[in-house]
Amino acid sequence: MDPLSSIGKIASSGLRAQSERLRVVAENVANADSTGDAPGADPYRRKTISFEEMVNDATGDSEVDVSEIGRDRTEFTLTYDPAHPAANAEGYVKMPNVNPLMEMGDMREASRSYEANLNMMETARQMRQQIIDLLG
Amino acid sequence: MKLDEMSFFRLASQRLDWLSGRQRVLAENIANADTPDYRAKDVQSFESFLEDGAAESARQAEAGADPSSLLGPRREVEDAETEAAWGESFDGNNVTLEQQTMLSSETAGQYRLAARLYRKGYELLTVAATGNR
Repeated sequence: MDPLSSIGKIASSGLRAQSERLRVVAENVANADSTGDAPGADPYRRKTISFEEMVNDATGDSEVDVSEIGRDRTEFTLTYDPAHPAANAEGYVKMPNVNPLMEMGDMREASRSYEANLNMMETARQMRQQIIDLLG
Repeated sequence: MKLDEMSFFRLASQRLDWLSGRQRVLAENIANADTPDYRAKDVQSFESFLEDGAAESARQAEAGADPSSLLGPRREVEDAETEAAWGESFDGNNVTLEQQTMLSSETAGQYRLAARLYRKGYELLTVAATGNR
């Protein structure tokens, strides 16, 4: 397969991986305050995502794929709120281990990488256009 | 007459081949910019790509391939280690988006140059054949 068409496939695998990452960030941010509902119950656990290099058997290109969506095993923070339905015997509620600052950083990085892949696609398109222009 | 046999057109089209191969490798790097343990790649130099090509066609002529065949085998541009990565993150990945973007726009510019050159060569032929452009 000619390299210029490969680029489209490679860049779109990058786009997909980065948007998947952005989806995980959105889930974490949306659930930043999701606590349990029974006394002492665990709240929402932050999700993590990791990527892996995936070599396309047909073309030999190394694309990227989501390897695993896991859970962050850091400790939950405790806040004192005896009236909360999830409060334990001492009146403490476990809050999700989501750090909004970290999620924002991740979000920025994901969108930056997304843009880089998009630019790659656009560049390949322009290169193909130049070849087509040779005909005209 | 095969345009491909004239050194000018052959060189220009090999240059285009090499540049698009390089762009593919850069696309792989950018797609894998956040993959743990991924090492940035580059391609062999244009010079060694040309040498490989010359060796390949010599080998073919020896094997008795039909020289008038239009469909020569497509040569792939070989991957090579990247020269100097700008940095490395803690997960063992040494792709820097800035560096790859710069290389990719450089490659795109050179591609445009080679495509223009090809067209110029064609225009020269037109002038020679018709006397007007």
